[in-house]
Amino acid sequence: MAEINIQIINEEKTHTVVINGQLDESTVDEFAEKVYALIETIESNSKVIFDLEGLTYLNSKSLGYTTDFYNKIIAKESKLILAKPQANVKDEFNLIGLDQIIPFTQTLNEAKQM
Amino acid sequence: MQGKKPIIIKIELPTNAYFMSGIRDFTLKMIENTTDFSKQWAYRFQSVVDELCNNAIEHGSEKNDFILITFKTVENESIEITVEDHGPKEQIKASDIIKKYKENAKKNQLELGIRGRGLAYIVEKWTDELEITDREKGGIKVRVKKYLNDPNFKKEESNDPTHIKLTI
Repeated sequence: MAEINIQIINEEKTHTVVINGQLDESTVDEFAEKVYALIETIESNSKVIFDLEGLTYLNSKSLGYTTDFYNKIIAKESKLILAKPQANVKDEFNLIGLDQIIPFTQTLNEAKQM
Repeated sequence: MQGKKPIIIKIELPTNAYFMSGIRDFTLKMIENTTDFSKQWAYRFQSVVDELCNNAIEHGSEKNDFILITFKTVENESIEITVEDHGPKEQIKASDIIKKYKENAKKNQLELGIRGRGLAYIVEKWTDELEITDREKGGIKVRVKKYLNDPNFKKEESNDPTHIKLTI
């Protein structure tokens, strides 16, 4: 079975979601539940950063959830930033054109400074 | 002249997403061992297989059933994958699936919702052939194929040797 480990680090208005493992049909809903709960709590002008360095796989439903997170975060006048994706993970975002909508960064520092 | 003999591997998988990480690992290893696909395309095909199996499990099957996955590789030529399900109680037709995924492919990403990207993007864009048909005994059969160095296919201007596209 795929495993997913999610850690959320809150620093004032910057919320970093550290994702380790695989997001597939057996894990993605649990992940989404935690992110939706986080989005509920954020104030305007916040940043939600996904640290993707430890994410080794994501499926199409994860891409769908990401667009929904983006819409909800934007509605709260805040930003979603995707940091440090592995090549195969970035490839999927590129395929559907989300790299043109959601900002990506190579480092966490870059994401925090956006 | 006789063609190369394909390697055919068939797997029966219980209709439970629990087993999908094993199929993904298997797909990566099989592609590495039986084709010259680049790492990037091995990952892409891993995603294709995952999406096809998830669709078959989630929309095409009852609980405690199984799906059949067939991998057919011809060295330096192609890889073909077929996923067959037995259908749910309320049978979905292949023509409805095709219509739906083509509609999804036209929608704006931010308005598409959570689902609808598997067939419309990952499977459709990362394979050279996609065929969805009704099985005689019920259920759906999806066949995809990716060519490697087929003379009928023209290489795109890319450093990736597997990024080839049908020219019509």
